[in-house]
Amino acid sequence: MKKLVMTIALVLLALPILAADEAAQSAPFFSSLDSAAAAAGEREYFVLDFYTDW
Amino acid sequence: MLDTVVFTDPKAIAFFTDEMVLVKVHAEQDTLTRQRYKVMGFPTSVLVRKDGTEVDRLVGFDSTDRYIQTFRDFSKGIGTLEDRVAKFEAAPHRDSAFAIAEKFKYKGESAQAETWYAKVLEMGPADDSLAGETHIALGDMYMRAKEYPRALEAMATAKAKFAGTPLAEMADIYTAVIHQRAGDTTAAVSAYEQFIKSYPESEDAEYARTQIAKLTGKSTEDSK
Repeated sequence: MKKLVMTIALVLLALPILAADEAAQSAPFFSSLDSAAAAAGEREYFVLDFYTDW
Repeated sequence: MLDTVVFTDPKAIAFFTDEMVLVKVHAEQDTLTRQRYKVMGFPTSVLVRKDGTEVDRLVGFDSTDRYIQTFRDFSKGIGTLEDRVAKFEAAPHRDSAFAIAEKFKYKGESAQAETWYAKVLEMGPADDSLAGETHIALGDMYMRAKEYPRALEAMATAKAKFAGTPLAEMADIYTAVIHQRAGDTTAAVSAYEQFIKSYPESEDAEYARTQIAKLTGKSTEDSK
């Protein structure tokens, strides 16, 4: 039982780390120019990537 | 490909962390932003300032290095529409005129694009490959603008003037696509079938079979 609890705890601990790694594998992005502008800091230029699902 | 190749590249991750900000716009959901920037095809990457004013745009795919370099150049005024027009005025060249026409086309400024395509045709022989590409580019522009009769006319011109060349093949597949986009299923299927007969070894033959299957509800094997 103690081993099972430990295993679950380790999995729960690892999940956010795995998620962070996955997020780090792609360029950070925003979904709107307004939110991007608010978080841009000193960056002056924005690339709007227009995409579709098809 | 931008998602799987460019945006996952460590160089692009660094670029969009330190130098510029990436905004991903789902064109089918955010139609207001799509209309604002007159996006004509996908993928389109538009470089804008903080207030949303456009600097320039890149249409289509590119390698990570070229993608990043293009936007670094645009931010310095290199390779932008204004830059290309200024260079053309200093040293007029047909290739430059064609590149400028394409830029206007992808910005949704059809009248300006037509003017520059006309320059390409005026400045050189009527029967070289650039002239052929210009007719096809015009047809493509009319198709994107949903001016289907003009699009078909441009493709017919390209086909007639460049029979037996790869440009005629391109005009033929475009003709089928234009019929399809215009909603004329009968003409589209007929044009795709004719394309497969004329160019059985073409890379686009499989595409034509797929479209026939899509339009008729039959298997692609039936059109082989």
